[in-house]
Parts: sequence; structure tokens; C-alpha cells
Amino acid sequence: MTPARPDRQATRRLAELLASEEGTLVLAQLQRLGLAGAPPLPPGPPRLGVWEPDGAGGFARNAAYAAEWRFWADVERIPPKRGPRVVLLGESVTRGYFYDPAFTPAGALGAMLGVEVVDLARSDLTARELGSVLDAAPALDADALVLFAGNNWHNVLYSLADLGRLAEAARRGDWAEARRVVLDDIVVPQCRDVLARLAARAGGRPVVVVVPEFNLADWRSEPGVLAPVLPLARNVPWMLARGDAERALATGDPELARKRAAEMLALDGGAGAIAHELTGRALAALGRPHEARAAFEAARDATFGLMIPLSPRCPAAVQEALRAGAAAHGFALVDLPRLFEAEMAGAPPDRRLFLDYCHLTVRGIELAMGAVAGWLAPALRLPAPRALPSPPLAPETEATAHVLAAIHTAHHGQPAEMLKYHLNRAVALSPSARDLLARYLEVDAADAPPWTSAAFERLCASPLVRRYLAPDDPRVMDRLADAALVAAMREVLGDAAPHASPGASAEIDLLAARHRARTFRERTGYSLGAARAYHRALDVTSSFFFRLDAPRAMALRLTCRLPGAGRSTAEVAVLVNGEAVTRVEVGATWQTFELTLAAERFRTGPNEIRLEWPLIAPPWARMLEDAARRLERAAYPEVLAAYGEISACVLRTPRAAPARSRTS
Amino acid sequence: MTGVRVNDVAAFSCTTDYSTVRARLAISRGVGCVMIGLPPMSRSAPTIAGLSGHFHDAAAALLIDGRLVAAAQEERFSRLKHDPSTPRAAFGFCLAEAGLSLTDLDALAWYENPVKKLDRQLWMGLPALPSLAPEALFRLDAMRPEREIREQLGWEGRIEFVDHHEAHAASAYYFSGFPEAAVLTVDAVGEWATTSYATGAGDRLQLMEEVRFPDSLGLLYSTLTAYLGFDVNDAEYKVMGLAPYGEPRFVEHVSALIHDAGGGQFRLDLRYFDFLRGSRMYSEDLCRLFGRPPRPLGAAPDQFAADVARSLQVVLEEILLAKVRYLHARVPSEHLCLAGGVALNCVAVGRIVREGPFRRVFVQPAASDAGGALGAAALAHVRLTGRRPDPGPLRHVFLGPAWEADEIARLFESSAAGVEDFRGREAALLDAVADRLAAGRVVGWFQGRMEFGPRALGNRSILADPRDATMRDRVNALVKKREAFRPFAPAVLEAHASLHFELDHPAPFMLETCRVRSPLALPAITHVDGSARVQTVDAETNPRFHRLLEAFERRTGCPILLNTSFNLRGEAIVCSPADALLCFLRSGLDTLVLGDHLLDRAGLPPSWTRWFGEPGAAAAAVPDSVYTLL
Repeated sequence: MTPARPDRQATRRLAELLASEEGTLVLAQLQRLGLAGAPPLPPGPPRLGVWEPDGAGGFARNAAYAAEWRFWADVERIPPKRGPRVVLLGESVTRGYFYDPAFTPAGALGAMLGVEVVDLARSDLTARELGSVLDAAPALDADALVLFAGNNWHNVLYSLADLGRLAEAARRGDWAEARRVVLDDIVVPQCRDVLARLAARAGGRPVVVVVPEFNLADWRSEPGVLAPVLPLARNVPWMLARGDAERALATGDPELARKRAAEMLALDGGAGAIAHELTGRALAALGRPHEARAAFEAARDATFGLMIPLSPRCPAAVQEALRAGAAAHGFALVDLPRLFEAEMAGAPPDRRLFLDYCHLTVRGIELAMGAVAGWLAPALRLPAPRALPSPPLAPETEATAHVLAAIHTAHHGQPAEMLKYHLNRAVALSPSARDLLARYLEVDAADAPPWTSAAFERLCASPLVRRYLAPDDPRVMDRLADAALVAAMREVLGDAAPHASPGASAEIDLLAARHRARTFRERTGYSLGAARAYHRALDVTSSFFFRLDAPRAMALRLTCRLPGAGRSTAEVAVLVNGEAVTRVEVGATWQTFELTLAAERFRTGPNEIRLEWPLIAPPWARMLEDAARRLERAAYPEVLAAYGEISACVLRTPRAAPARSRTS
Repeated sequence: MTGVRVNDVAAFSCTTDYSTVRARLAISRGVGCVMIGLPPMSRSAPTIAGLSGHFHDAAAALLIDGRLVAAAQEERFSRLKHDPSTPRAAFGFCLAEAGLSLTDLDALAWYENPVKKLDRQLWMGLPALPSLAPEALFRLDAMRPEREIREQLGWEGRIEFVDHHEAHAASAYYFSGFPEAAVLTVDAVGEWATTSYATGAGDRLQLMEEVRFPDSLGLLYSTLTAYLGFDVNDAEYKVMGLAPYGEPRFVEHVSALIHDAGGGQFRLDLRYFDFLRGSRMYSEDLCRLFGRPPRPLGAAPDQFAADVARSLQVVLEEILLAKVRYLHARVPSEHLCLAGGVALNCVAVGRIVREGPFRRVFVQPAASDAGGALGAAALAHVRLTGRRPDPGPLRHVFLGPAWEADEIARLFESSAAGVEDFRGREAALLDAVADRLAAGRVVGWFQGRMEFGPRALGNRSILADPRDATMRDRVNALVKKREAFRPFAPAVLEAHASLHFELDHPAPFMLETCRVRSPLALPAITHVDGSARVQTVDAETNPRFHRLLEAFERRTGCPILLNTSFNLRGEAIVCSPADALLCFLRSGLDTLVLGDHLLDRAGLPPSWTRWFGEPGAAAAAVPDSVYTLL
């Protein structure tokens, strides 16, 4: 029954005392202490992906998991075992992302060995999910297991103790320590658990572990993922050094770039990828490939610990743990970093082996599976592995994969040069790629969800495209600001490019993803926490892309603020198609401006409005404390500094009323 | 963010400047205290956004100089049913709809007192302090509303906090159009209150009495909802729909769970409830009382379930009637205002209207927590101006987003769909739709601004012929994909309503049931007990829907259409044209009307039906095994 009244008086008083940020933290800490020593979350139940026993010795795809089907091999049934059987487990790399279902690692391995290879690779598979699949795998009675995974293992569940350690690191701005916690205390032990589970489930059968590798030479950090917020206002000199380093690289002065990148590293303590990347690019330009490789590896691993969304990657610590674990458990090892190093004659691996950050080209798959087959053939007493036919897949199929790679890399904010490489490669391989590009441009031009377009249906006639674009999930291909990709496609197609739609709504919300977000991540921001109702500019420029049917005068309604401005104000420059048109004086609180932009600033077709934010140190002390407190409340922190924030940015036909400015 | 300081002022408000933040915290000393925060500002025409969330049904509403210009639930944008998060998209929509920026707002109002809520949460966890239950972990956080309003919405200015039931009461009274009224709010729980009694007079709204947690009619209903194998927080209306199939043979059993404590009070017998521990709603004692184990979640209802549902409904109605009479004795007004989730029990409301002592009853159409956004904004308006919001009655709830005909046209411009474009030819469109309805087609009808609240009232509706005996099963099985026992509601031309229903007043919000007495056979909208949940439609508030009903009547002599919400089972009602198109593709609807555009199933590109032929798993944002008390 209801407790006596004194209890209620006490809780009321307690609530009053605890109704503050500190009170919330007190309660959270008490809960954390109360749960200290609680067992970790048990693994999920064994599950063989989307397949379940069919009662006839095989496994049938279960409709209950239909929403997951597209992540797994497009196989209706795994038949009963008839002969030697190898089971291949892994992630999207192991699916043969972009080639799937026409060409997959499992298919390649099966062709090399001449035996059944059951494809249990799933795109986006985490280590925890892998545990469930491993637990179910014995039902397949495999003669050998191959594990090719490790790129998604940064997607972890943090324990309460982890959160406490991360909070302490965040409070000090010690992102290197946060990275150590994530890698050494969470990800690597998780890797060891996976290998132990693999050993237990293999039951003495041969096991091959493949160590993943990354596109070290070509992959660049996504726009907006700069240095985390740094103590003592170090973000400002860091940004200045970054600008210098980039300019030095562009003007052919790699030595100066290297020096500036070293300054950046001193400032960020190695916590951001950019400084390492610039170092790597400078060293590569200086003809020092081995040092460049080390720098690129550091760039790949730098952002572990920032608790931001990362494209899949396997850090050096996990690579080492896989090597050590394989040795300890007696597994055979296919070490892709070493294999690819040999293939590249010592240079860091690049686009010849990777279609994006970690997904392999045909050559990459051929090398990886060839090495696996080289181990398995003797272990299973099979004949020597056969070579794949040459070429292993039809040119038009490979061309399609390159088109998809261009789309994917564009949506990860890669440089135009990379997009053009894939597009040119595609059209060089097969004229059919031109049709794909034309269809994509038609889809992009339509002011409607992509799946509604007839051109999208034609695109999806290709099984590869269908797998990648997942037409049955309308969320997958959201509208993004594809200006760079569209320009690259138009350049490749030349006169054959379809006529561009004029676009031109009466009112354009420039904060809509279609006009603002170049990448998947930019849609919701580079935080794993709750999204915000306003845009945070994570670099000193913000660009918005839109099309007009004809140049005309437009009114821009802009509500913005400078989070680091404190009590002062600073100027924000407004540029239209690269030309400065005005500056507005902005402070730390929201202000609304209505600007009339003359018709001659615009052009028919694509246009860009850019805001250039003043370089002001973020409120670092508050941000670091806030990040720590979030972690103490078991929430994801916000670790990237914003140089400007926008809550409204609307372009419309001007009103008769005069321009005004109102301050909150 | 600056820490906050406690003092003894009975309010919780924040000023604009972080450096001078003063969070004046208190819990009102006893009931009857409408908390007034900072002195009223000299704002003659303030712009105020009201927000609800962090429980279920997050929503935002916008008042400009007391006029309600926009309101929407977050779930419609996020597509997560009952989305409880801070309503980012709904808030953004409200501003955009009014053409405003953050800098145009004068205040934000939150529908709950976070300190009182924390008090109740701490008490619930006793003797553990704090509770270590999974659902309590890191959720004992009185600062969350303010923090998330600052961080996620970017709001720098004044925040007004109002009590949960105060918000409910305000949402009903200030939008009723009554110059004075008695006000009853009933739900599961707010901070502490589960039921409240108030009086409204002119600008003033005064709470008089409340029933406190854990004694709760809403939780009584939810507990038996769970026991019968339905989702709590969501499926209470299914239990209400099931009730007419049963006999009230368990009234004594249900009465053992709750007893009338006289006056405005009642008490739950907590032996039968387990929700204080948070793991499930009912106890083993309750199962023993009914002599049956709990029914598995999702189990098809049987006679036992129907009988329990009927008995529960009887007990609820009797208690509500008794409390309404009590309220009338204290506030002898002709007017009653109702809000809170239990006010959506249209069967009980029907009895209150017919048998209660009040001459006129106003139920706030978004009576559940979404409506708290409305009430919070209204109370903030009163605090800032000293005046009540626009004193006129709420005439409609078409307060959500709309799409222009040209925008809808662009949806199909590059497609291979066989769409008919009726722009500039409304009469032809209505003829085409009425012909299809008369021929037995089921139509997805998307027009104008989206409704605020749980009911589709002719702008995001599925429509069908109510005379067809097979229509209910057809719509249930093929379109709504829901339980066959649940009734559908009729929309009727207001001028004809009394001919077909025992209804002597307009019922534009579909919030009460009445007897069907139509000369027509209306099997698709007549419940097993001969009742219907009627919506009357007038030409002023929804002219196109009115004209469609007229067109249907011209063909059939029937001025009534079956009207159910445009969504699949487990999904939020559609918001955008793209949502509607996807719902059309995933359902068995025959025809889709998006504004001036009509699309028959035969006109679909084959790829669309191939891709979207089967519904995906609907996402829900609120757990459904136990009421979200935290």
C-alpha cells in the first residue's frame, strides 16, 4: 500500500535538493555505484542470420526477418550438407559490397576451392551480433570456418565503468586517453571474446582469420570531422595550421605542410584524423611511403574515443589482437595489411584494392580469398585452388560497382577527384555505365522521393543497384546535397547528360538535407546523441546548394549565432556563387537577418550560398565539462566544435517589407 | 550550463541570460495552487510555443497572441508511434508554419513540473534510493526538459513550466469557448496527480482537488489492458472496443480493484497491481482474483476477455459519472471540460454527456499528453498577459502541415504512376471519389492540414461506404490490418446527424458515442451494441470533406461515410504525401486521393507494389509491456 506520509515529505524535499544538473549527476553516480559489479549484458540468442531450420536438414529464409534480408546473402535456402562445407562469416566487406550479388567473396572462395561455401556475411554486423551467428554456426556442420570481420567493432555497448573512465578523460580534454579506453578496454577485449567464441564453436575444425585492411592512401576524413574540442582554446591555432598545411600541399610545398601538420598534432595530441592525414599526404609527396603509411594508419585510428559515427574500419589494435588471437588459438591467418603491402610494393593500399574506405575491389577480393583458399585447400585435403576466370566478372558488372562506389564515396564527402576516378573507370569498363549515370541524374533532378521516379526503377533493374539502393526501404536513399556528384557525373557524360530540372520552389528551406547535407552523417550531425533542431557548422564554412530556373532577386532569412562569441560579436560573410555579397554582425545569441540578394548574383541551374564563419574558439571549458556530464548520465557527448549555428535559412521571393533584424 | 539554485518561490522559470539563470524551484504546498512564475511581462501579443514529451505523445503547439496557429505530434514526423522525445520536428514545423524564427518567440512552455515528477520517481523507487530498476536508470533527471529545450531546440529564452494536470485542464478550458466551466482531468499519472478537479472563470483557472498516484483510473484501465494481452499506452481503446461484445459478469471483481473513497477521491487496492515495481502492470493476486492467468500479448480476444473489458468499462463509467456529479456539486456550472487520456474513452464520455449533470461538455480533442502542449502554451499566455487565449471555441484541429497541389504534383512528375490530375476541377474529383466509394472502393483521403490529436477527421482519413455489410471486415483485414472486433466511426453531414444518430449537438471531434437510429442499415459503422462514435461535418470547417459527403449522398442517399485514420496497424497516422503514398502501397486500399490527385491501385507501377507490397515492422517509441511511469 501507499507508504506513510513522512516518506512523501522526504522525497519531496529530496527532489527539491536534487533538481539541478548536479543533482541529476548525483543520482546517476549513485545508480552507477549501485550497479557496480553487475554482470555485462549477455549475448543475444544464437541465430543463423535470417535462416531457420526447415525441417528437412536445411535452413530456409524466415519472413519474420524480411526487413533484414537485404543485409545478408540473397539466398532463399541453405541446403542440407552434401559434401565439404566452408562457412564464411563477416561484414559488408565479406558480402562483396557493391558487387553483391553478382560477385562475392564466398562465391570467389567456392570457385577457387570447388566446394560449398555458405555465405554468412552480413552488412553492418557488429561483434555482438557476430557472437549470435557464431553460436548458431555449429548447426551447419562446417568442415572449416573463415572469419573476415573487424571493421564494425567500434559499435560497442559501453559499460557503466567505461562511461566513468570516458567521462574523466573528456573532462580533461584528454581524447587520447578516451581512445585508449575505447580501444584497449572495450574493443580489443571484445575481439578476444569473439576469437574465443570462434574457437569454441569451431570444435577443432580448421579456422582461417582474415585481418581487415583500410584504404590508407586514398580515404579522407569526412567534412566536418575536424579536431575535437581542445582545452585552452587550441582549436584556433589548430584551424590556422590546418589552413596553412592544405594550402602548402595545394601549392606544392609538402615540407611546409608536414611542419604545419606536426603543429596540429602537438595541439590535438593525435586525437583528430586530419593532422595525421595531412602528415601522410605530405610524406607521400616527399617520397617517404613507409612513414606516410604510418601516418595514414594513425589517421584511421585517431577518432576512436570521440564517440562519433565512424565509417567502418579496423584499427591497428584490433589487427594486432586478431593476429595474436589467431596464433593463440591455432587459427590460420590471412593478414591483408601484409598481403596488400606486398601487392603495393610497400606503398599504402589505395583505390586499386579498395572501392571506398574498406570495401575491396575485385583484385582485393581475389587476393584475400586466394590466400584463404591457399590455407584451406591443404587443411581440407582439397586439390590446389583454381584461379578465378579472367576477368572474374563481366565488365558491365564491374562498371556498375564503380558507379555505386562513386555514389557511396560522395555520400561520405570524398574529394571530387575520387568521384571522377570511379565514374571514369565505370564508363571505361562499359558503355552501360553511361545509362546508369543518366538515370541517376534524372532521379536527382526530380523533386520527389527517389523511389517514385521511373528512372529509379530503371536503375534498380540491376541486381547490384537494387542491393545497394534497397528500393524497399525508402529511408536508405534520402535526398542529399549531391552537387559535387552531379557535377562529376555531368562532366563524365558531357553532352549526353540529361537536361537538368530547373528546380525553383517559391521558398527553399536551405537547412533541408537536400540543400545542406553532402553526406549521410551531415543529415543529423556528427553525434551519436539526439539530433538538434538547428544546424551546427563544424567547419568555418557552411554551403547550401539549390537550383533556380532563372536568375531573380531572392530574400534570405537567416537566424544564426556564434557559440564561441561570448559577449562580443563578429562578422559572418555571406557569399553567393563564390562572391561575397554582405557581412552580418553576429553574437552568441540568435539573431535573424533578412537579406535581399540581387538577381545578378544567381544563375540558371545550380547555385550555392556559402556562409563563412569567423574563427572563434569554441567555449571549450563548458563543452568539455558538458561532454563529461553527458557520459556520466549515460548519454553520448558532443565533442566536435561548432563555429556557427543556424536555426533558420530560408530563401524566398522577397517581400515588399524592408529588411529587418531582430535579436532574441 | 550554469547550475541552478533552489529557493522557496513557487515557480520554475528561467530567464534568457545563462549568467543569470534562476531556476526557482518548488513543489506547490498542497493542491489548489496554480503556480505563477515570474511577474507577467508586458507582452500584449506574445508568441508562445507549448511542448510535451518525455513520457509519450510528444507534441508542439504555437499560440500567437492567444490564437492557436499550429500544433502537431512528433510521431507524425519521426514515424515512431507515440514518440516521447523532445519534439524537435513538431516544434520546427510550428515555427515554419507561422513563418517565424526562434527570435520571434517570447516563451516556451513545458507541460510538466520536472521537480514534482522527480519526487514521484524517487518515491516509487523506495526503499531503494535511487531506484536501480532498468527503466529508472539515468532517468531521474529534473533538468532534462530544460536541458533538451536549450540543447536540442536551441531555445535561449524564457521557459514556463506548468503542472501536467494543469496543462490538461488548461487545454480543455481555454479552448472550450465557455466563459466559465467545471474542469475534470483524468489520466494515468502526471507528476503525482492522476485526476484533478478545477474551475474556470474568465481568465482564471483554479485547481481545487486532485487524486494522487498510485490511485489512478488510467492505470486501472491500463492494468487490465495488459492483463487481457494488449499493449498498454496504446491499446486501451481496443479494450473499450471489445467491451460491447462482453457481459458485465466481472463487475464485482473489477470493483475489488478500486473503491470510491467519497468526494472526488478513489483508491486502488495495490495488492492487485505491480506497476510500482515497473516490471509489469498486474500482480499475481489479480490473476487469482479473476481465476485466470494473464492472456499472452497479442492473443485473440475470447469471451472472457470481452467480459472483463465490459466489466471494466462499466466500473469506469460509474466512477466517472460519480466524480462528474461530485464536481458539479462543487462547481454548479452548465459547462464541463474534460481532458487527459481517459477522456478519450468516448463510450464513457457519451454517458457523461447523456446522464451527467452538465448541459454542455467539451472534450479537448487531443486529450492525451499531446494536448498538454496546448495547455502549457495557454497557461504561459495567461501568465504573460493576464488574459486567457482567444476565448472562442476550438472549431477544428486542422493544425498540422499541408502541401500545395503543385508540390503533390511533383511527387508524381517523374513517376510512371497513372495519376489523374484534378487541379481546378474539384467537382470532377469529388464525383470520381464518390463514384468509387459508392462502388465499394476503399479510399485513402489526404487533404489540407493534418489533424492534431489521435483522430483523423477528414484530412488524413480512410473512407468507405458504411452501408456495406462486408466493409468493416474488409477494411479491418486488408487495410487497417487490425483486430476484427474493433468498430469504425462514421462521419456524417452535420445537418443530417440527428436523423441517423441519437445526437442533438455537433460532434466534430469524434469523441463520444451515441445510439444509431438511422433508417439506413449501417453495419460497417454500427458497433455490436448499436452505438457509433460519430463525427459531424460542417461546411465551414472542412468544406471539401463536406462536399464529398454531399456527393456521396447524391449518389446513394446516404450522407455518411466510414472514416478511420489513415495509417496501418502500429504506425502513426500519415503526415506527408509521401507517407500517404507508402501507406497506400503497403495496404489494400483501392484508391488514393492526395489533394487534387487521384491514383487507383491499377495505376501503380509494378515496381512500387513489388517493393512495398508488404508492411515493414512498425517502429514504436514507447515500451508497451508496462506503462511508462518514468
